[in-house]
Amino acid sequence: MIRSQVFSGVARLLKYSRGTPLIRGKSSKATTTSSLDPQQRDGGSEKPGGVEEAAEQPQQQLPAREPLVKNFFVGAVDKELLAYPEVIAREDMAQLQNALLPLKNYFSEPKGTEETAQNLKQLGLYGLNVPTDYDGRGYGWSASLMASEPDSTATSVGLGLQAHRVVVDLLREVGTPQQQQRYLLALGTGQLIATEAIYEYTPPEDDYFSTQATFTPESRSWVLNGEKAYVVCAPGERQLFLVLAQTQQPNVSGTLGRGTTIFLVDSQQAGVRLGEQHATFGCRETQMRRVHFDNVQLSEEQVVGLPHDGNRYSEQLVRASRLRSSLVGLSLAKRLLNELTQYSVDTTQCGVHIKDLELTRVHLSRAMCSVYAMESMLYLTAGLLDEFQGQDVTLESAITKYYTLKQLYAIASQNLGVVGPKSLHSGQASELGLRDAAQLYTQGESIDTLSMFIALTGLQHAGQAMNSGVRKSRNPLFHPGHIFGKFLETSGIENPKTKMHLSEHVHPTLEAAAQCIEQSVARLQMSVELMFTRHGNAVVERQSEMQRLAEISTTIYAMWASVARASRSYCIGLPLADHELLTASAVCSQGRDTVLTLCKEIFGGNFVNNDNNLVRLSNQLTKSKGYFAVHPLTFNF
Amino acid sequence: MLRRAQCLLRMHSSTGRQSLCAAQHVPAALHRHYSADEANRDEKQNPNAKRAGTGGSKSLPAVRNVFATAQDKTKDTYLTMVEIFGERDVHRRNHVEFIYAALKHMPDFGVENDLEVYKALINVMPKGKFIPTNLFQAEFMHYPKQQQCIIDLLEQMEDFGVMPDYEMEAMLLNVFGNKGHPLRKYWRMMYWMPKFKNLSPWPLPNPVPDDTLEIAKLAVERMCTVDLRSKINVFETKELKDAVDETWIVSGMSPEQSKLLREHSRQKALYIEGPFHIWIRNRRINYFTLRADADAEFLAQLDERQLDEDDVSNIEVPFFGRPPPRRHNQLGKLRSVHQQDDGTIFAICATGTSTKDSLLSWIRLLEANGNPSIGEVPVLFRFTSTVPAKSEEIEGPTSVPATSSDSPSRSRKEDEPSVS
Repeated sequence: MIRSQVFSGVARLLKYSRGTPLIRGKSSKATTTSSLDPQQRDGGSEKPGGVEEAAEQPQQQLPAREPLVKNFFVGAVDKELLAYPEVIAREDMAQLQNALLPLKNYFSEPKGTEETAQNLKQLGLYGLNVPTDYDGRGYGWSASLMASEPDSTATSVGLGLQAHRVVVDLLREVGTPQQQQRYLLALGTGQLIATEAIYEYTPPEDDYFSTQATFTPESRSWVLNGEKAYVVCAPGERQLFLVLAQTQQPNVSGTLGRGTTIFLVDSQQAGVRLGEQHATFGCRETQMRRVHFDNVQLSEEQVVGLPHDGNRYSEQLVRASRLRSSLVGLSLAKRLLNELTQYSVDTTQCGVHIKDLELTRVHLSRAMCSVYAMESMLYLTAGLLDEFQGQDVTLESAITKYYTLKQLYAIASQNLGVVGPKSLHSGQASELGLRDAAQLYTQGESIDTLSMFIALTGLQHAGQAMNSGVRKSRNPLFHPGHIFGKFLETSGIENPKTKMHLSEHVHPTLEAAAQCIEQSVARLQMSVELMFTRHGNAVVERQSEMQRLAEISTTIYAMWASVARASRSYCIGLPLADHELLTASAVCSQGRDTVLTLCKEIFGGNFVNNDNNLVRLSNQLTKSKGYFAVHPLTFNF
Repeated sequence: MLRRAQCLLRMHSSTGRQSLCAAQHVPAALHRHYSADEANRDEKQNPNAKRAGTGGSKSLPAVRNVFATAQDKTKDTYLTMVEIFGERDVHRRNHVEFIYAALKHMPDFGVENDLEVYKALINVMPKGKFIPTNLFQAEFMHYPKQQQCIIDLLEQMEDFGVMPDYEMEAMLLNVFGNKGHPLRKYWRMMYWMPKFKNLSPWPLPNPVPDDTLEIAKLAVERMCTVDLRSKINVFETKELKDAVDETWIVSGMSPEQSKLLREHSRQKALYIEGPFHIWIRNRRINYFTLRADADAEFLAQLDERQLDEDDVSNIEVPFFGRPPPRRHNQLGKLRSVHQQDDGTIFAICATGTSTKDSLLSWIRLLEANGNPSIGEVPVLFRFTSTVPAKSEEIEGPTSVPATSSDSPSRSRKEDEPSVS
């Protein structure tokens, strides 16, 4: 029954069923490494302790599949995932649409700032993803993302709500039944508003956090000390902070025993103090503050997951926060695009409609493609989470955030070029949009770290699969056969040979687009292999090449998601689906060129692609502590 | 062909001359600062050197060496003497000898770095007389003695790093014409010297300040460039209650070094070693290091040979905005530039007196300024460093202090007036 609900349209059209046990990608390189992956182990183990995925009707999840984007790094694709997931059942969707109506109405009308908090509570926005057992709505990932679309159109409001939901997500996944009992009810009604307190203003030189917690075995309690920054606060409300603190395992000394622990801290506990408010660049209606913890006494029940093992749960934490912050970015990007379109329709200069200028048209369409790709990625990732049990979407969620924020910022700054000086006039919509975009761009982890995370995660996965091949390639004289085999390969970076047959899984119109994806995946795999062969495990130090890898994998995932979505839309005949096909084709053509350029740069090596020059320059830069060239008009004699 | 033969001849003669010049200039430069009695010795050698330098002719016209007998050795007197020579008679007899004499005495007047003075000397030459009128004259070095004299002048400029300017080109053009050898020399100089002028990675202000404290600061600053985070502190021993010497201490230390010092075992001694030398242009500064023996255990731990670079199966992924791991950083430890194979260097300093007492003050000032752990570690003075011995081998025994002595501070005071 569930199967037929889950699969309609495309799935049926393509005549295959996901019920069959996992079919492996064709590449032989994809060895079974995922069982070693800690994240997946969690996925399995969290179930007994946590509640079942509590949708309105408890859905049964399919067994997990191989991770999608991680496998791109080894050149394997899971073609079945080209069918865009339909995880919300038909009847549920109708109910959801109805439930969303009041929210949409509320957020579409302009309003004053006062009594917002009260309204948000009444609208039930705090309980979207709280299980039904605790009087929440019990939406899954996709449904709760959809339901939070209206509130994320108000970026400042959305930011606070998303932080709340991230904590709820984490509690739902790894919280003990006692913790869920204790917090979820209050969290669902909004009596208690949760928020993350992870990042610090000045992180220590050689540790994760300077916030420390120590365990007292006699009283079986923890003492928390430190200070967190950039904490999204709800003024005047009782709050629950999710705090990551550095802890030391009692019987292991030195760095080995160093770990992080996740705590839930109530704002009403003794020693918790709200600090100064950050004067932020954008999202000014959100209050971001420092929070001080002075000798806060915490019981053992306030530890989320296992103590000292916070890094393991961080994976779930960052996954949720990346997905949810992407939604805020997506809504902002949509709004910016709509405003700009409206502006170019309305404006005429020297008798020419701005909308008819080719430059504006290209710019608008680029933005359209980006927004389309963001949205497809977001709901594809959420769909994977909902559909498969314990699916590994670490990379997918990171990529979604990376792509969304980068493109959002690009759109916001491109607007400046179209609108001109007026766009920065104080109070203008585009000015506020740019500010918010910049604020989101820096919220939480920095975008560079995120790109390194993407590349490293991919390389970690690929390294496990490719290890033996890499060892052979790096020691050619010990393995002559392997090397001769390499010489005889005819596939090259310009014309990779692929046998993935992706086009069989999408609408025929998208055959060319599917071809682009195939080639890009093959190029990514070649680049990864080359990087491993060249640098061995020193590859982690080649950050500028890793940045390219992150860019490549991001582009491929954007292409993949767009094609999957467009294909589904066209097959079931959604409105304007033909233009969706066009959008997906545009995303793919652009993406193929981007990937090709980046892969060629990786193949060229640091002497060809200019990296070497830049790295050398930086030596002098740091030595001179900045710009070092003398004035161009200086005399020497 | 002819030109090449000419050039070869000239090269041989000029290299011979050059070496002589070098032999007499370099010690002169040193002696001026560091030893008074050797300058006298130099004076005695001068006549011979001069004779050799000007071509070994025995029947030189008697010229009174006004430069040797001048009382007031300043730039003004120097220029006045050149002016008097120019005005003395219309023939300017013996001007070549005069220029050679003037060149030799430049360091005594402290004008060896002054372009204006060199120009004044060139100006002594008559204009137009030495310009060749045909090709043969030009190739056979018209007025060789005069041309060689000016070439030697240019050579001396080059040795002292004085860069000519365009006015000098015009003067040489007026004296020797555009085929003259001095002009060719000038053009070569103007090709290379600007390129070398700013090549030093540790450029010094020009002129270098004369104050020893300032020079010491420059020296310590330059040595501290190995670590970009280094901070230079200037302490006064007055700050301490019972310091005997009242002097300054220029101390260089980076946060990295402070950290290493904090983590240094309390059982292992620290050594103050020195004095070592660093030359700032022509001034020597003595400096001392605070160091400990190398942490062999730690260094062995970092041995790269233990790493399997081919193994790509466990790449770590960091969370929360931390920089990615380095390959050698699996334990979260990195070898800093201060941890050398032969020891770990915690700080360097130069003091005004270079005495044991001032170094003691340095340690106590370091302790008071953010390094409390020094107080808990034994600090030993070790003036028997291997480095001075090595430099003695290289430089010869003259200016290097005794490598080991019972009362190092006193003996150093005696043979190193340069520091204070």
